[in-house]
Amino acid sequence: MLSVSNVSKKYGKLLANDDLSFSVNDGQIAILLGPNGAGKSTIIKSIAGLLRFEGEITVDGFANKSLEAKRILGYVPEMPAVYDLLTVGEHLEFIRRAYRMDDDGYGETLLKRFELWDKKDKLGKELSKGMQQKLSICCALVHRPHIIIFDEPLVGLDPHAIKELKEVFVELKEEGASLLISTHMIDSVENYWDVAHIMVNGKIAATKVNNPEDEGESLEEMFFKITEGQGSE
Amino acid sequence: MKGALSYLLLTRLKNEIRSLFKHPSRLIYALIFVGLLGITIFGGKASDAPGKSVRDISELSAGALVLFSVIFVTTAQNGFGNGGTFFGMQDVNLMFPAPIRQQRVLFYGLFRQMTSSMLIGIFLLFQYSWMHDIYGVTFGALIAIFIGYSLTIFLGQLTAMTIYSFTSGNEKHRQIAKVVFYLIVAGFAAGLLINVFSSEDHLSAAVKTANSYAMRAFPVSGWMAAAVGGILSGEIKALIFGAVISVVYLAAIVLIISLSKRDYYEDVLKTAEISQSAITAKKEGIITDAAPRNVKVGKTGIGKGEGANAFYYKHLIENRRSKILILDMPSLIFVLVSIVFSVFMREHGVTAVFIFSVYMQLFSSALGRFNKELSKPYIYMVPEPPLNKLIQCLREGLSGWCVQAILLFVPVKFILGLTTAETVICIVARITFSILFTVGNVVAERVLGIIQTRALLILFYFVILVIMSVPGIALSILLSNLGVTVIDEYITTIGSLAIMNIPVSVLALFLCRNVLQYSELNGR
Repeated sequence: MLSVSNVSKKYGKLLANDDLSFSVNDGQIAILLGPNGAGKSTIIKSIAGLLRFEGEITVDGFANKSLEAKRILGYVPEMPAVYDLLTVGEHLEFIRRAYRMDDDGYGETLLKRFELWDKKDKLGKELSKGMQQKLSICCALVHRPHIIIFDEPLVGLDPHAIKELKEVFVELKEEGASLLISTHMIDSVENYWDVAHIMVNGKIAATKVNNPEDEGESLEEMFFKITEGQGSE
Repeated sequence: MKGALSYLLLTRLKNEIRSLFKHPSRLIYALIFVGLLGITIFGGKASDAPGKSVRDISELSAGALVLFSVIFVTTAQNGFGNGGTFFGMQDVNLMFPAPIRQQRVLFYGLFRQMTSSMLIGIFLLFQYSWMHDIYGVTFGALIAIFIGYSLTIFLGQLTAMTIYSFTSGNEKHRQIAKVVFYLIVAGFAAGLLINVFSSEDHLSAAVKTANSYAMRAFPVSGWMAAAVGGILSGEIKALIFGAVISVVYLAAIVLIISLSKRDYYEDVLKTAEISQSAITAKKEGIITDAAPRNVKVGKTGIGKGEGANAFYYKHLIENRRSKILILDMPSLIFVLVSIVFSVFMREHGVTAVFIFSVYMQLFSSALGRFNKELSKPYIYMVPEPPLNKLIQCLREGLSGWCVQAILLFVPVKFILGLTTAETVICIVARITFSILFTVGNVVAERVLGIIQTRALLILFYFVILVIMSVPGIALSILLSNLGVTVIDEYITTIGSLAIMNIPVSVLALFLCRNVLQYSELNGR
């Protein structure tokens, strides 16, 4: 379970996250929606342990910067995190070794699912941006994290990879993982989400739980109602 | 449209100056820079004494020829690779399609390049102290050396661009130009070596040959060395020879590019795109690998390492593929310069040579792949203690530091007639300074994060190193006061500095370990 309690983050005078609190339970997919500059990437990076913040973030009960938390946390950054001079296969070997894990064949499975297996001996710098994004996703998943945070994971992916990633989301959820996905593309999240938080100006402006029987406002309608007129900073 | 380029130049300059006042830290660094320069100048003059004898200035002219030649050859040979470019992507996108004459745009590019070339040579200004002490160089003469160095880089870049423009489309032309280029270099190098070794007194022969007109005929660096040598020794003929031929060369190259029907826009487009992607990546917090265009993958698989030391083994593979040798070019040049220095200073003992070599080391000390790691999330995310990750990320440099120290002090042993024990102490001390300087880089990263202005970062880095060296200096003073001597007083000083470097480095690393806790600390 991922828990975010009263988290605030300032960049100089700019309050990027203002007293945010939410949690993502085991086997749950939470999405963060919001216009550009709403503070989605900031909270994602804070959870990943890349930023300093006020408040508390725990990962399965461990402080997010502890080694215990890092072991079970996966992070897909907005920009593909790929080493120019490592081959595709070596990326996964490196992560496996750094996380002290044996090769159980999961890396190969991931590369095959994302159509990278035939490129396993290609260097990172030789990959297109979409392929780099797929590799970045594989790197975040290969150590079998229990809590995974995705920052705009679908940007730059081809239709097959988008389909595959959505299937991976659902499978991870079924395996009991907690997923937090940040995006500003509402149509990309469709109906696999469990809870959606709409962020505006560093705050959660609304939260919607996915209930198929709910015939009220759709997520998209809710989003535009909240964000239009007060969106981008 | 006529004024568009001058408007651009002036506005950029104006904004640069404004940003100095908008960011007080930059202003402070600029003031520190001026302050340090002042200390160097006045400190250098402090040792002046009436009737003080100085060494023959022609030795310095000869040194300038060697330095300029290394710089020119390494810069100009880029023309056989990517050619380099004076233009950014904003120039390519906005200026190239605009109704401005190509030649005018070229001059704009040249002017900008010349100003950035000047900045590269700034480190020379800090050499005033020893140059004044040993050769009696005035500050004006040092400025002449600085300008000569900067112009050598500038003309080297211009030569690279010309070579690239005229050979990039035709492999046969490229090969011919390459052979001609290296034949000229080899010819002059052979001429110098033959003269040096055919004489009993190698040093005098080297100085005499380097100052001969035959050597000064070497393209660009020879001419520049002639002009600078002319200023240093008051030899007007040499000054005129060097200056005139350099100006003619510059005019000829500009004329060739301007008059040729070649569309240089196309030539610079690709290199502009490459440098732009590097700039964009830097702004986005990503440091590109500066990977060569054609990488030989070779054997795949990391094969070794678990936990934090997986980073070390990964770096070994990356270095192999980017063809980074144990010693990079700047380190090798500085080792050579230090050896040459030891020849000149052989009567002054090992301390002067050691201090000089450590001083040169300042300019070649680098963090290797550590900075690149900071731009990726893995170094922060991997569940290992930060200090372990830090040490493993810096480990790749160790073999290079050892080789550097050995390559330097083994020849120095014979030049200065050191004993084996003294040589070993110097080698070990040099290695500890490599460690100290590398850790100094980490401290600068930790305290300042990313600073776009390299010169300012270097200045802060110097301040940090001075502070980190204090315990070693204190120990050497203490031992001296207590009358403790090991081998001799010089070696005791060097040894005590070395002994303190390690605990200081470890302590500094420990205190900086949270550089890997938050990417934010590194401005990424």
